Amino acid sequence: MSEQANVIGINFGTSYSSISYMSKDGRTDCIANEDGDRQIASVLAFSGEEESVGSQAQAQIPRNPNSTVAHFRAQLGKSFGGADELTGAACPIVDKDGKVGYNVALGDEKTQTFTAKEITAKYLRHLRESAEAFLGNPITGAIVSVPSYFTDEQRDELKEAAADAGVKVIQMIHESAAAALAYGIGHNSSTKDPQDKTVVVCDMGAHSFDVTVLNVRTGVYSILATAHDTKLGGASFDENLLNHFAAEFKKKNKIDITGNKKALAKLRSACEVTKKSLSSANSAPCFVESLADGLDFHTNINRLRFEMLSKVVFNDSLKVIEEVLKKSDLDASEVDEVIMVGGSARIPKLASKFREAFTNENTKIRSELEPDEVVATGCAIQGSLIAEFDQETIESCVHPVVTLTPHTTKHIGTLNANGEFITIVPRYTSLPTRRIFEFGNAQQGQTQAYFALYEGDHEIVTEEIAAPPR
Amino acid sequence: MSLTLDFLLPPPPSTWAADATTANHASISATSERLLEPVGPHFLAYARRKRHNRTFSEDER
Ligand SMILES: Nc1ncnc2c1ncn2[C@@H]1O[C@H](COP(=O)(O)OP(=O)(O)OP(=O)(O)O)[C@@H](O)[C@H]1O
Ligand SMILES: [Mg+2]
Repeated sequence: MSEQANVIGINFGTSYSSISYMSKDGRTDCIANEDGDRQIASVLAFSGEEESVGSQAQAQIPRNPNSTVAHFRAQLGKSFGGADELTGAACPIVDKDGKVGYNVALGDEKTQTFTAKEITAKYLRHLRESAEAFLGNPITGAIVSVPSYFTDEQRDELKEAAADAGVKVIQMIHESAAAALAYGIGHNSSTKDPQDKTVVVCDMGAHSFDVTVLNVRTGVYSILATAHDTKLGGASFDENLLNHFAAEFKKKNKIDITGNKKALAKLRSACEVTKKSLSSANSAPCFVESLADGLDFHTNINRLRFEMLSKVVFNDSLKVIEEVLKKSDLDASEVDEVIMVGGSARIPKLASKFREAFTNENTKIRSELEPDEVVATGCAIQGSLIAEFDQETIESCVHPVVTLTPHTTKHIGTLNANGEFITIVPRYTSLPTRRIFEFGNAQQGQTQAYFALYEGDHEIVTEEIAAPPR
Repeated sequence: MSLTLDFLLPPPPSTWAADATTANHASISATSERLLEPVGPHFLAYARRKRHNRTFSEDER
């Protein structure tokens, strides 16, 4: 009996990770871990010899910050000198042989230094075990997504960490491409119905806003441009709420918590909960027991207030979108679809803010799939497509000899009987390409047809001018 | 965009030789090299053609 391929998709995020798989009937679903988390916090907490991840580990951040590691994905493949500490981090980063490390307190005054790669390996091992417990089988491999800005060093370290965790990475794919795959963009295209599209993937996670322009030609994607802001994301909203509530607490109790690490950590995690509630409710409470000096903090905030506090975040996100459109030499009106990705895409105001950039009513802003699951889902879909491939075939498919191709730089089309330009092959189409289409005769009994192809920089827009009054 | 072009082709210009089949007046502009994202069924079909050096029609057989 041949071993059944058990391939999963892993979206390893800076703050949350998700695992997806495709069932035998071709449906994809996210896997919940033993604690019921579908979004598994990318946090690893140590308690003596024991390790925990996800919500359990996240709860340890205020209590045992020095034995709890968060945001380690961001430090993969970086030198200590090139690393930035992210807001809300727990165990501080230290220099480990020039790489990023963490001095983890293991209890009884014992500490041990782990590199970001070692922490990642431990974390991924937990993900693998959760997936195997859920599927009841060992997994044979994984498709793992990475952001577009990941360097080769980061990809390599991630791959090594995965191998150490017993996860064989069969392919690494871009998060944006995975999201487009989950949405089935271009899936039903054919040479007769190419469904050519320009898609903008807007991925707002916790610590970054990553925007990618994808060109879709007969179902094949290429990236036209990317832009990102690694200081913009869900954590920015949390930080604004935190400052707002800290001021409120100070006003009520005359206690300043801005220098109190533990209080800040407690309030920050409460703010995240409040923020999430505000995505579905019009107002939400924020409650922290014994925030400082034994005093509880209890308050409410409404969505409008939250949106006002976050104004800068919304505006900054538009700047990233403008930047990517400029880089790709596109006008916003040429975009067919905008895909909302990342946990922060659940904030209702974000999509409505993006409408200010994409005013063309033909531009669809899509958010019907769970934004924090689409990337893992796309990975699982890709996994199902290549599960039976041998490694050699996969390697040759992803090799630049295959992926690097000449693309047209202008629209190619024909003129119809009215002299209008009809695009047949839009610009940025990979060659060779084939398009099949039908056309009719201009005259009855016509024995010859004249078909001329033209090339143009932009599609010709024709406008009907009303006849002058007689 | 469906490519059933429901329009009529214009008659050939008067300078067109009736027995001509094709004429090249210009070649397409210089292309630019770009990377395809190696994901999805359509990419895999493309990669298969490329690796086996097949044309679209050969691939369908
Ligand atoms: N319902 C919700 N409303 C608002 N924000 C939410 C909601 N659910 C999750 N988030 C936020 O989404 C962020 C996590 O998103 P995601 O899982 O996409 O991030 P990530 O991929 O781990 O991070 P990054 O992309 O920055 O590396 C967190 O800041 C979280 O608070
Ligand atoms: Mg992300």
